[in-house]
Amino acid sequence: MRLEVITKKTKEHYLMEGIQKSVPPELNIYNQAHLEIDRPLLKASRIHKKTNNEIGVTFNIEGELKGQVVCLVDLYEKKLAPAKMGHFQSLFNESMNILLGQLLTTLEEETGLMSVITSPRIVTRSENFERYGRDSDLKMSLGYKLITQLESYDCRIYILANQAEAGEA
Amino acid sequence: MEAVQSNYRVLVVDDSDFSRSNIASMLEGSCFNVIGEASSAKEAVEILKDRKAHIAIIDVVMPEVSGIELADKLSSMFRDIHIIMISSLAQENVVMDSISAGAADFLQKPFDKASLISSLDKIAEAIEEE
Repeated sequence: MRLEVITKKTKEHYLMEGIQKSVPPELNIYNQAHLEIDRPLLKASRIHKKTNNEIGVTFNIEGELKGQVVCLVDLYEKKLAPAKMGHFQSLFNESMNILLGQLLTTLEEETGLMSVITSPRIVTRSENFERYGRDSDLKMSLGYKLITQLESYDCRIYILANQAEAGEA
Repeated sequence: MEAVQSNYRVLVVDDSDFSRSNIASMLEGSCFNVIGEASSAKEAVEILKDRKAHIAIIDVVMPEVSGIELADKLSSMFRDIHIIMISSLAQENVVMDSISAGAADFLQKPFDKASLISSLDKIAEAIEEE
């Protein structure tokens, strides 16, 4: 029993270390925006409730690592015309897609774990994420700033995942 | 040299509006004319039934039908189409699957205009040699 616990902890630690090494410190999003890390990867106990000022997107992770990623961006006191909202959501979705794609690509180099993300799904206004990560051994959060020519936006990202058992991926 | 003077018809397939419009902007003023933008595999096939494209730029991760499945389908449906796959994921498996599906090149997102044009130029040269 004790041996099982130690093995699980070691596996978690190894995976967390791999993800930590794979987090890009900054990314240029086609010269239209920049992502800069704002808060390092930390263990998270739960996803803090989405505020009315946040919009978000989720991705599924499939492969040898399975789970979800929740990405939220805070629009509090940001001057964003309703007509520009669609473009901003699309820019945010693609920025998160690029960030996660790069992270999983580096993760494979670091740990040998092959995982991919699915297409983004836009978070609905009333979504509360209560069920997210219930069965996930790994719950991590990190923060980025999404910097456009006009504004800087705070983004919070939650990675909720499990390493697939042999033959499950 | 001749490749640069001709006009090549390009279809952009990506479920991201931002990515599609960004690629279209990168190609403005070049010899690569975007003849259509599709947000899904289904839409891409519909466009290609009406309009001929020399080159399709296809995102790997798309809902319902993936970019790799689409590349495979287009390679068999339109024998003279050339494909560039794009994705933020660039693991060896993803790149190899793209090439196996008929892609001539693979670009990891985010790429710059120079990389995109360079990839398209290589295909244009191949088209001229055909």
